[in-house]
Amino acid sequence: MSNLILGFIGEERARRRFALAEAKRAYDLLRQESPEKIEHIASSTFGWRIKKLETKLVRRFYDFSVSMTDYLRNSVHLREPRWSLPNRVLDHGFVYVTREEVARLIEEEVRVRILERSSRPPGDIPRQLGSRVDRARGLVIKWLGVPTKYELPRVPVPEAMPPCVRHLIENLNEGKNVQHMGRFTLASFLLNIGTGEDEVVKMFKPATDFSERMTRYQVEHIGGRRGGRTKYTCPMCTTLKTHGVCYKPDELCETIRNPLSYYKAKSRILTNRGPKREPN
Amino acid sequence: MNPTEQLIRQKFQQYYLTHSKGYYAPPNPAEREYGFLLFKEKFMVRHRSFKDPAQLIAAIRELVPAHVYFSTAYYGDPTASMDEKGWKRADLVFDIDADHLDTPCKPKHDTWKCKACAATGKGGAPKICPKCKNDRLEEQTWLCKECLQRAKEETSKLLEILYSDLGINPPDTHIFFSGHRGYHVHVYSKELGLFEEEARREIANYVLGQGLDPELHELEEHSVGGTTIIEGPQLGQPGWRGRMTAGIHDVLGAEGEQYGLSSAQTRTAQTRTLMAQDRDAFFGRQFWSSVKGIGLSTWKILLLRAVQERAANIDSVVTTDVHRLIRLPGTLNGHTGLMAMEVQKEKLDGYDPFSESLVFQGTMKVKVKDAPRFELGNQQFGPFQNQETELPSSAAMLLLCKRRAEPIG
Repeated sequence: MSNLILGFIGEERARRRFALAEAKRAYDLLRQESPEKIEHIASSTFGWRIKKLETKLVRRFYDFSVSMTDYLRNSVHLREPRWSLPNRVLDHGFVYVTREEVARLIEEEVRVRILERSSRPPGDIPRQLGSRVDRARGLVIKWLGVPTKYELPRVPVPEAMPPCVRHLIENLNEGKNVQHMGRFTLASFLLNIGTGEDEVVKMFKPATDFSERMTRYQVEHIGGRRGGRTKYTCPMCTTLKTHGVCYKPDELCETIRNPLSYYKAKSRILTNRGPKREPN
Repeated sequence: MNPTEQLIRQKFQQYYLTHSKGYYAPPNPAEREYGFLLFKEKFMVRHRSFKDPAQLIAAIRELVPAHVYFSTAYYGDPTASMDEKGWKRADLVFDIDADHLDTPCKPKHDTWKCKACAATGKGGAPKICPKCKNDRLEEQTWLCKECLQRAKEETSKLLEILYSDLGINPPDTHIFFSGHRGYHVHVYSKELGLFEEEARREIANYVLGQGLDPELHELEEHSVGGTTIIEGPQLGQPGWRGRMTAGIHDVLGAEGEQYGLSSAQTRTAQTRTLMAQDRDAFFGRQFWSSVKGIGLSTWKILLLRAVQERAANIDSVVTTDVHRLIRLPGTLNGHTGLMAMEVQKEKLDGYDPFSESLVFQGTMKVKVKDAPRFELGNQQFGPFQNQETELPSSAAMLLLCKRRAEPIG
């Protein structure tokens, strides 16, 4: 029922919060349950392939092993290094996990499921629900404020750019070589924050192998005016790490997954709109 | 097309017209996208699909491409534009290429040239030109036994990890020689096929041991009754735990090995004590705290070195890409004139890419510009330097495809 009402309110922020809160509640409850109960919930409610393990390797006690598929579906959203696959014990397709870790993975499963279920249902709001949806919407707006769509500043704000992008610009200006991935990142980043194509092309002028014609062609390609007509977005931080483009990540970097999100958050702070506030 | 390309194309055409067997059909061939790289202007024909293998063969005969590719992905409509293809799933694929391996023979047969300042060097190309810092470098690579042997070893390591750690069913794995410098491993699994990019990245990282932290595998220091002891993974434990511990055994056994330590560190008395251990007896006991003076940080370095040794050196870009086009086995590789082909798992150890992938019969006369000494079909050739010679067709085609030779007349 809550999912249905949330769906009709159509407020993304409320959906996310509700999903997160419910998932956290599930985590707190699960953590205290017996291994038998946890195993039962994981396998029957969520369809996981989970096995009782009860093995101690060095000092850590692993209650279960979970199939790699069920593990990865949830772990990919978790960013601490302990969740990454190379740091896990993997035995014939099953990942060793502690009871606490299973609870955390189920939390993730719950969160994603609520998000899926609370998407906008088809059709109009049924009459019987109308007043409840209105009341709930009123409450959401009271708590979270009127939805404002924060728009990026019209003119690019260099101070709001993430360390990797600034580093790329510095390197170009100093005449140092910037590799393909770096160039692509810079061009796609600048185009996505609203920099004009001419401006972007100019940025590459200090490059040792600068060719105006080639650069323009490629910038237009990234901008979606040529070739496949796809407008490219900026690569994700994980990709940039792989290619060595990520540079001296700062505190804000830890909260984002894409350089564009960094820019959005930082410019919001810089332009005095303030960061998103939690209610109370 | 220049005369060399014309000749290669003509030979490819003869081959394709006279052979209708040996093409490889992947599972669900009609759901795949096919791509052809043509000799003419290196033009790429993409987004093609074929209802049955006969149509595909007809297209190859008509186009005579330098390279034939198919998608690892299964689509609802393979001919639609990328956004509208309707991705269903994709085979999990691994690419092992000598280009990514640091083999000691590379300086003997590979050279590079900077496109910007014309600087040249031996071995694999550096990331950027040491002279002008440009990254546009051109590589002239060669395929040699040693490189391909290493690639085969990496393939074996990969398969071991796939079977015992990831639990992949051996009959679901297929190994292919690429026809050039490496091997491809395809996994046909409905379950893993649904993995998206992030999950595949995790698998690639796992196989590479990338980001592995020994401390997260419980290599830890504890204080027991006032003395500090080190505990850690043990031999025989599943996954990377047992593998990296066994790797320490190899690392300590290797001669002239720096173990990833600085040269000052390797000279210390403690390190020398460590080296002098009888390795088999050593691994029979609680060894993490058995050598005085070897602490957590040294073990960590040794373990990371061991991980590097035991990891399978794959190209992670290929594994994470869920829309990848990859070479179709049973077709000719335009870089060499050799056939890309399936290798049976049981026969991988004894597989000789330099005799089993040859397709051309007879001899050809060519003018060789320069070529190192090489072996093909159990015959030795070269080295050559500006000379006209008559060679078995496969050897001549290899030189032509590598642009090391030109046609005569």
